[in-house]
Amino acid sequence: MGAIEPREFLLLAPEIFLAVAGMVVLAVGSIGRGLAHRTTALISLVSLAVVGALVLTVQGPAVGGEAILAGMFMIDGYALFWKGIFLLATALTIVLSMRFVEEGGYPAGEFYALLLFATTGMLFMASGFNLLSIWISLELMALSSYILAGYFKRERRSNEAALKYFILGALSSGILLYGISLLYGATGTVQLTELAARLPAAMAAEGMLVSLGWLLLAIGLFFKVAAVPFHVWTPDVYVGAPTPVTAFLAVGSKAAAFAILVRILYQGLAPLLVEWQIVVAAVAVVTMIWGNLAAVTQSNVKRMLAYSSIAHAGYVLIGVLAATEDGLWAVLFYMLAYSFITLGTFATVILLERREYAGETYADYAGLARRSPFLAAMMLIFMLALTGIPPTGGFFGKVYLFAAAVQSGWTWVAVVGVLMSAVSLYYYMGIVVYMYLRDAEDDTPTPLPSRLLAGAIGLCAVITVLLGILPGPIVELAKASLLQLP
Amino acid sequence: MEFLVQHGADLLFYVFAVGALAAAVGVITLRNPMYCAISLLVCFLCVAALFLLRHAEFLALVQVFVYGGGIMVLFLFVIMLVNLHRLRESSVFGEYAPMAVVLAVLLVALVLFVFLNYDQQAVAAAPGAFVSVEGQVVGNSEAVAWTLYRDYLLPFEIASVFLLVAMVGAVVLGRKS
Repeated sequence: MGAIEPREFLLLAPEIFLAVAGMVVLAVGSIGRGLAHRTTALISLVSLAVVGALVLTVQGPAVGGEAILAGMFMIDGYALFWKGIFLLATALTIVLSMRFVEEGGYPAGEFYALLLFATTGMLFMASGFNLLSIWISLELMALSSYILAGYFKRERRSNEAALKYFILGALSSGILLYGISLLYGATGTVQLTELAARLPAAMAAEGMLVSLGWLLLAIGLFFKVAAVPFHVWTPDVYVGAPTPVTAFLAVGSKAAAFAILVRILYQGLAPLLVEWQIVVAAVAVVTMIWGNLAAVTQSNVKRMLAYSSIAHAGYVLIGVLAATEDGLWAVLFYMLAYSFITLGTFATVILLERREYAGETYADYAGLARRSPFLAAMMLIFMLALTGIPPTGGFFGKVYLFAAAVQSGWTWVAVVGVLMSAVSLYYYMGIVVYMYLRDAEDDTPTPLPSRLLAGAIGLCAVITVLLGILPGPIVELAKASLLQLP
Repeated sequence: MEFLVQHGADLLFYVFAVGALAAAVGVITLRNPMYCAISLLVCFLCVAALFLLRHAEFLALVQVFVYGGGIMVLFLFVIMLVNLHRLRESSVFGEYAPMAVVLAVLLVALVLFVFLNYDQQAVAAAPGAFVSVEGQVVGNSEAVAWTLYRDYLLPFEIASVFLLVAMVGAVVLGRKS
């Protein structure tokens, strides 16, 4: 590995800018309470926009070629697509958080700063090309998330969520790191291209060491995407964390974990394709079945959404499993659609939520169509999309994933996916039934406390429907953002 | 004597490796937090000795100074400041203990199985990786510096943001609001 040239640092401009913006927000947040809250949120949103522009103008023209910074940092279409998803998800999370944090009376500066630091970690994950830099970026995101999950420290459930998330997250990071260390022991490298080049020889000489190494690595990654049987932390954390943070975990963290999962499997572990496909297939099937069946039995909407997010991780794994170009762009398309759908759903939950975690059960949605036709209609769109019913982005997302699996010969896994989508109809439509067919105890209209939040919900709904009517442009974009395949 | 000369390094390795493991088990099983902290210190020192055996003198010293020194002192301060007596009575695992034991035993068995079947000759550890830079023999601190500030510069910088987040988190969650 040669010396690093100064121009390579210029290419890091978006990530460096975002980290600095996080520190600025931290400083501004400590100035004064009333003024600081809105200001910090605004600064965070503006800096995310600047980072997006920097990604396009600085990293956009540099797409292709070798990984820079001693093989650590890859700038390719794949990384840029994910960075787009992360920036959009964080921006929407900030909009979702504004009222929530203000009403809770919790300090705003640290909250937004931690969101920005987590996003910095996610950007580094998307471009990470060395297991060590991927791991530390993942930790940066995870540590910020643990703190955010426990941010409402006067609430017991928030404390519980943070502690459980931290302990299980630390355990999974340890497993991940142990797997990486075994792979390093067997091959002498943690850089993804070198790893792929040396794996066949290492496999022949030390098959068991390599197998244990990549299995532990995969288990650590499954933990982070919340796939069964490594999902036990998810429901408690999703229910206990402040709802905007839950949305961030369900969208941002999950997407970032998938970004590195796919890159590591496709580029680092490419020589082990046959082996990891079996493991991914098994995990995908168990995840879809357990996630959906457990979601059926829930009475708390946030808990149901937690299991639903587990089930959706299973669907995405179907696309990962295919290991074809079709599978890869289907994963990218699905994660984009899923991000908007899930953020919209959680935004609606936030609007209906009141203090002390009220408004979270199915019964609280009774008669919503009469109390607030707008929110009910929006929730209907999101529930249709999560089930995968046209005309929504969720429908095409699932079609592409299942089609990719069938084409690459994994028909039975796709069949399980279709069957389980049918099961999911039951619990998603359960909310719709409550909203439209049950009467509420009091019929007073639910006010819309925040126009900004309502606007964000509307935006998510419009994009969800647009993706279901005109998926073409995004599909083309995803097709232009592929990885080299194993 | 002959035996000691030939296998002295191996013997020392096993002494310190077993010491580190035993101390690590002590950290999580002892009931008195102060004993746990001392166990942790023993663990750190054994790891430092392992670094020395690999000719990583700089890392060994950093391990002693930073972990054995600075971080241990912080641990001891916290233990003395915070009242931890109630910890002694509470049971951590509860009803999940049997399952946890089964899973832990399985995992350890799996790892042992792999390592007992592991052919040490097949995997060539890079000789003198801790004391060479591009083929030239240098001191350990120089080798660490080259690795840390050139090859692994990016993770090093990300780690600095990570530490900032850890600090912010400790303040946010710890202060009275």
